[in-house]
Amino acid sequence: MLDEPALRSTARLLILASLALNRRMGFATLLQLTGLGKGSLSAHLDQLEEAGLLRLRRVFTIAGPRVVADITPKGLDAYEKYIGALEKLGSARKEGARD
Amino acid sequence: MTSEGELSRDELEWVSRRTLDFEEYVLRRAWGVFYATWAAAYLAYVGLPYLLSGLPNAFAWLAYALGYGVVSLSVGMLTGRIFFTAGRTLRLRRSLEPESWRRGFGLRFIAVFVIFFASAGLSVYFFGARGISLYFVVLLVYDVYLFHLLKSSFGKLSIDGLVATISYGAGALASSAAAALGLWDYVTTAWVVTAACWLFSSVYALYHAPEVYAGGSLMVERD
Repeated sequence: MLDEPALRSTARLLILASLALNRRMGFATLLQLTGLGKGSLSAHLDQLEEAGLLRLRRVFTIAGPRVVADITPKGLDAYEKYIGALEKLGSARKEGARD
Repeated sequence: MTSEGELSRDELEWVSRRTLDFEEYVLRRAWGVFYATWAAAYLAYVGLPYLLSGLPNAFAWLAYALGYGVVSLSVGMLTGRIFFTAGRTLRLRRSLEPESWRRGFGLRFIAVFVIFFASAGLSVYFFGARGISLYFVVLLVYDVYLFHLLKSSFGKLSIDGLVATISYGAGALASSAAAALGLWDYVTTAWVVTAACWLFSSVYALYHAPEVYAGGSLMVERD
């Protein structure tokens, strides 16, 4: 259903879906979202960045430097495919219930 | 049916439900900031005429334009941001029940704001200062839209959303009646009360944001 190899992981798909809704998220928020450890989250983010689905940036805030992730147009396309897959699943379930 | 290496249907749906759970937390906080910003904006809208009353006429129009312009632009940008995030969340929520999803969120958003601002100008242009009374009635369109968006964001309307929409609707109706009768001090009072209610909503939303549960049982890799 999702042809992007980087999205064959629920953790990475979760990061992408949340980023698609919010457009930009900080590393700390992504830790809260996934419940993963820092190292594991970094590895997932690197894979998503390598696939061109998001862009990682270091920004400077009053509280110090922070890492933020921005979704890319390719990431938004992948999210649209995910929504399409969910809609198909929903329709199939509805038809199944009708039969 | 999934091919080898793909996430299963249950896993795909788990991701969307987990995303929505987390978004409820993110959005609740965002709505909290939204209420506080609008509460400040209501106070600024009704307070500016008092603050600028001592200015010479030559500068007054510029000060009004700048003051109302800066406030409107700031709250407009914040409102756009949160409304579009809420709209995207709504779309994800409804993708699980595809037939209920109606497209054109952006168009409806623009339509509401065109009605919102155009009605202000037109009602004052045609009916003078008391034309603002009609404008306050039009504000109810925005209130209905806000009600719909808040309800859709969380599946049901929260206490803060209820307080915000009821106080806004009551404020708009009271202002409309007061403006029609030329009782301008009552218009100010209505919006100060609305601002106080929205401040309560803000504090309530920020302190009652649902707890985010860490991790999940369906974290899988198919590499």
